[in-house]
Amino acid sequence: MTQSKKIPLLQGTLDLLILHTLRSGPMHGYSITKHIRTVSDEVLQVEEGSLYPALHRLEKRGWVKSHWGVSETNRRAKFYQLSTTGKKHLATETQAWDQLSQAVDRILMFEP
Amino acid sequence: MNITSQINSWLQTGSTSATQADIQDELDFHLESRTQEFIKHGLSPEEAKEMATAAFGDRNAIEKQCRSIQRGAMIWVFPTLLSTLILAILTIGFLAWSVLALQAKNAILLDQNTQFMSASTGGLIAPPEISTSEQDLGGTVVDVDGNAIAGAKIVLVHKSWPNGRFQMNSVTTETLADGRFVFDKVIAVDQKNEFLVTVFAEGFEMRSEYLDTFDKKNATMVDFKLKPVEKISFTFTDSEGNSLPETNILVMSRKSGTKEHLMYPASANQCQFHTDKSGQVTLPFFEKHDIVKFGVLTQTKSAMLMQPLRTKQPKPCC
Repeated sequence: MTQSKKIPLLQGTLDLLILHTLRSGPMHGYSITKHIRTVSDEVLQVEEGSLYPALHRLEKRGWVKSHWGVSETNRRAKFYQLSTTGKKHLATETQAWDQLSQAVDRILMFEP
Repeated sequence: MNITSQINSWLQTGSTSATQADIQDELDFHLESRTQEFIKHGLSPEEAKEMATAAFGDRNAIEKQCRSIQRGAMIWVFPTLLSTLILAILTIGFLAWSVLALQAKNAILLDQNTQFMSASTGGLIAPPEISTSEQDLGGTVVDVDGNAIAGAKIVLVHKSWPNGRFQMNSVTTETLADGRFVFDKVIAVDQKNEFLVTVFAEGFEMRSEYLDTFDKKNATMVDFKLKPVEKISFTFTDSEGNSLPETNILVMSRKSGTKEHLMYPASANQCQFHTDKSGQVTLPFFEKHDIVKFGVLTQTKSAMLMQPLRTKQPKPCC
């Protein structure tokens, strides 16, 4: 595991990370945080609990749907999945993020 | 969704204690799973629990935030469960209130006349009183099987006549996960109000409803049941037959059988579609045999007008 410095998550990016993670199918909250931790090599510092208000908010907006099921450890767990409008929103947000990150890159790479 | 599962859903979501228990259960599951993960990495159960709790953050605050979001959602669910009862109460209350309001209005007019007469002899005319009583206008959007359609765009054009002057404005909103939408306090209950409510849901027919809330005092709800449709491509040309590339196009109306669904220029900025390089746009809101009229906005000295557009015969797409 890379032990680099942990970076706090930029405000507003948690929703994007959750929606992107859910592209692979229904997941419970714990799996989502584990995925974000693992894929970012534990660089992104997300307070794990903050995921849940974000999930409930996304559900209220209709971008994710939820249902109660059984986890891999045979325990009752709440699963979330992307809705059709959530997929569209993710596409829009991903595009906006790409534009932002390219713009920041261009500024950082600029040599006067 | 059948009636039994709908009622079960209401009972599950509508019960505060059930929601609270679900939130606690969800957070408990996370903490238990994280604790097990730390144990697998060699920590003692006590250390693992401590680490999991620290990584989680302030549980009480998180639980409170989740409850607050859920309470917001329940504001939508409870009226659904009790809609018949509430509508009945509102109708009776509204009728009683209208009688009183008319009496009060007559009294105000009489009072204003008296003030006007005194003003003509040197006094000031008091401005007419305007009621601030306002009501919400809301409704639902579902498909033909009664399933909620989330994310549908609702365009509202509001016509009113405050102090005898015509006024028209437009606002939009989207349906929530349960297919409901609401426009807060758009109805001034003691004035004439008329509304055109138009819904655009991707993959479903465009529909509109016209409401006159002054004549029908309980017309504060409008429900749409939408048929699914395929995407259709339209090609736009100018009067000389040249295609119109990269142009903002507006839907003026959709005629399906004898029913015509409308959009007004007032809401034009809320709902525009863009043609591609060949002057074509593909829209998922119409049936094959619909008669659809489109327009472009043109600015005159005094107003924005909707100029009708020519379209080639639509063809089924994709």
